[in-house]
Amino acid sequence: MHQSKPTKGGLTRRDFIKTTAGGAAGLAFGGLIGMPKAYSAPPITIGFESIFSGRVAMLGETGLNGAQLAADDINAKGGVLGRKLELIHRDSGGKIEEAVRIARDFVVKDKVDFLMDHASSRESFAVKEVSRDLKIVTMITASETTANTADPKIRTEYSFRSARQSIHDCVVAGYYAAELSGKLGLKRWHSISPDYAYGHDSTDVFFEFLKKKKPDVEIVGQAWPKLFEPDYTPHITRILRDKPDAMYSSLWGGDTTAFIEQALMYGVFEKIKFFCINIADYTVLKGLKEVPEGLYTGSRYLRNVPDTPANHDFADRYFKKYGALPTNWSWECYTGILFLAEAVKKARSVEKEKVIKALEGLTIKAPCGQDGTVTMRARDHTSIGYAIAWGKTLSKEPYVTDLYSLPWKTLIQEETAWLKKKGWL
Amino acid sequence: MNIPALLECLVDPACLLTQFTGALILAMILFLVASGLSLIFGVLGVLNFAHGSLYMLGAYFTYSLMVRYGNFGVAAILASIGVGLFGVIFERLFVRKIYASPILYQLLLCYAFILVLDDLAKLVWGYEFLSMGVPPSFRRPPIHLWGSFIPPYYVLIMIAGVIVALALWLFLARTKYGKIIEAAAYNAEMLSALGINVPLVYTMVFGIGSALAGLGGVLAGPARSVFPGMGFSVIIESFIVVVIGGLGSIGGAFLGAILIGIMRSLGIIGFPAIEESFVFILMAIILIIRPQGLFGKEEV
Repeated sequence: MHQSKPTKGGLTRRDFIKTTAGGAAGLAFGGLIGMPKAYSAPPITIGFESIFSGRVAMLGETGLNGAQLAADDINAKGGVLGRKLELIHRDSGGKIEEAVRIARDFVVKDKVDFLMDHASSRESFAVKEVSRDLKIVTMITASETTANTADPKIRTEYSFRSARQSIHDCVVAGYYAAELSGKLGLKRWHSISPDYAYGHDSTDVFFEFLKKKKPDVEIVGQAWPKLFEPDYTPHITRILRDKPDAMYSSLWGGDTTAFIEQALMYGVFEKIKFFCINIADYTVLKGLKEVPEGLYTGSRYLRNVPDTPANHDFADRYFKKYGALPTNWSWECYTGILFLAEAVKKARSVEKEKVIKALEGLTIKAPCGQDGTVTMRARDHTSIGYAIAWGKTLSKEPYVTDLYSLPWKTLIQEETAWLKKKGWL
Repeated sequence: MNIPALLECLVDPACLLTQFTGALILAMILFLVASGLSLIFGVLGVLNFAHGSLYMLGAYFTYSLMVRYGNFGVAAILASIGVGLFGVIFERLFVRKIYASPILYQLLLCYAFILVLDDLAKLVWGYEFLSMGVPPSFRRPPIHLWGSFIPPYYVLIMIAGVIVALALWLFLARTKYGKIIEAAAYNAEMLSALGINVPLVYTMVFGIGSALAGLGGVLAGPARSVFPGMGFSVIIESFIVVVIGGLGSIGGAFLGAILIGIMRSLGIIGFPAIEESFVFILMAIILIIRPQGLFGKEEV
């Protein structure tokens, strides 16, 4: 370490570069460590690990809100088996090693009954090893990467997923895009998605299904900006140059709004039909100064998908409590708590083997269910039956119109064929 | 790799102009942040790692002022001044204490402020990303020049960047105050002996440097997402600009920023898969050929 005492201006170029590199590493691997909140002697405890700081703080915040809403509902009715549900939450800052440490601490020190893993796939894949190792029943509520529960080499018997599964969204997206490609003559396709597991997974599978349904489409180019890229200008100008008829995107959150604002300046949407899986979530819709009309989007969370009294009630109660509409993450966590509570009730115990058995194949009433229910599939511990729809954007409520969805029967047929092709089934 | 596409673009005026203006947008925002960084380093010898957070403050201030006054011009000026004033206070209360301390202290102080300011932003403006959108008068179709696309708002950014670069150069090279600042960078003790209040000069320089970062955030705000931690996205590239251009050199920062913009903008056509690494390759090559940076002065 540099020990001399440089006075003002005494920094050498070498110091500068060394410090810059050190600082860059600090920034890259640093992040905030949240203040642990410990509650005393809760009857049934759930350790909730997520990101509450920095760029994706809303992942943790709105997810926890959803989980808390469900816990409060259940507690208001006397809890589960006469015991109260309590959530303890901690911030991983998006760091894998921190997420693993938090998960271990939850089990070893706090002796929680269940884990809730509400972080991106990067952390989730690592936390799953903790679940396997410490044999703790874990609800995955944010990681959508298909392999997390679908790949037999990766999944564990202790992990369950109440979050979406990327493959399901992609099947609907592929069918929808194929239908519109036929109608509107969209032959030349482009894509712009974040350059990490989820972005590639989502984009590749989308094109796989689009091509399956519409073999004459052609991919003329693909853009892979890094996650949280502040400026998409070079990508936008390149896409304009490639002159596609349509483009697919799995950008999410603030990246989606930044891209849309910048693309609007170049008049991109007048020339290119834009299909983005992640626009219809209230954080994005409210984040945009003006929602451009005529974009195509998947539903992350919308009050009218499914358009049922149960879902309206969920959205309204959430709004009343938190002053904002739920996000996709809110319902995923809400559903996760419902699954755990129902399983404990059914098992009449919090013992892991009994809860696992109770969870497998469990069907519960849930606001996000396409037919009012969702089921935890026994085979791969992933949730099915949740509402998925695509539609065209509107600038005002309800923001999305001409909704399109597929029956779950078709979805599962396509998923099964895909899994077999992958050798995962 | 797609070299034919790159060559095709280089001989096509529409493509070349679109990519070049795209490059200038990246460059101007980077220049504003990097020039402040370079100025502060050149005169005070302080490596302001929290400079990205000042950029973030500029964007947040603009957002709040836009909500309040609805006028982008007013918001832009007030926000830049606001960040400048914040810089003045930051220098007076904190940075001043560590001029003579080991460099590690500077790093720790600045890093602490990155965390504090990110959390402060979260408390004041919330954890969700905000988007203010380009000012209504710039919400119009792009300008078509020889088949190229140039968004009107980006023309404003380019003009603002060039004006600031010229003004800064004139101020430093042609005015008395500029000379004093230059003198402070060379020999602060002598300057002090001549009866000039050197600590005041330092404070002013820190304020100007902060205002420049703030202006970067002000101009980027409407086109980018505003969120706690957004400073991180510019700080690394700004440091690269400063290293390429030469420490303490404003002209170097200008050229460095434009080089990075062009590398990314053309790199994306020719080498879409590895476009991000081009910037680092450029830095490595320049450091090998000219270790002091393009406009840097040789170390003694």
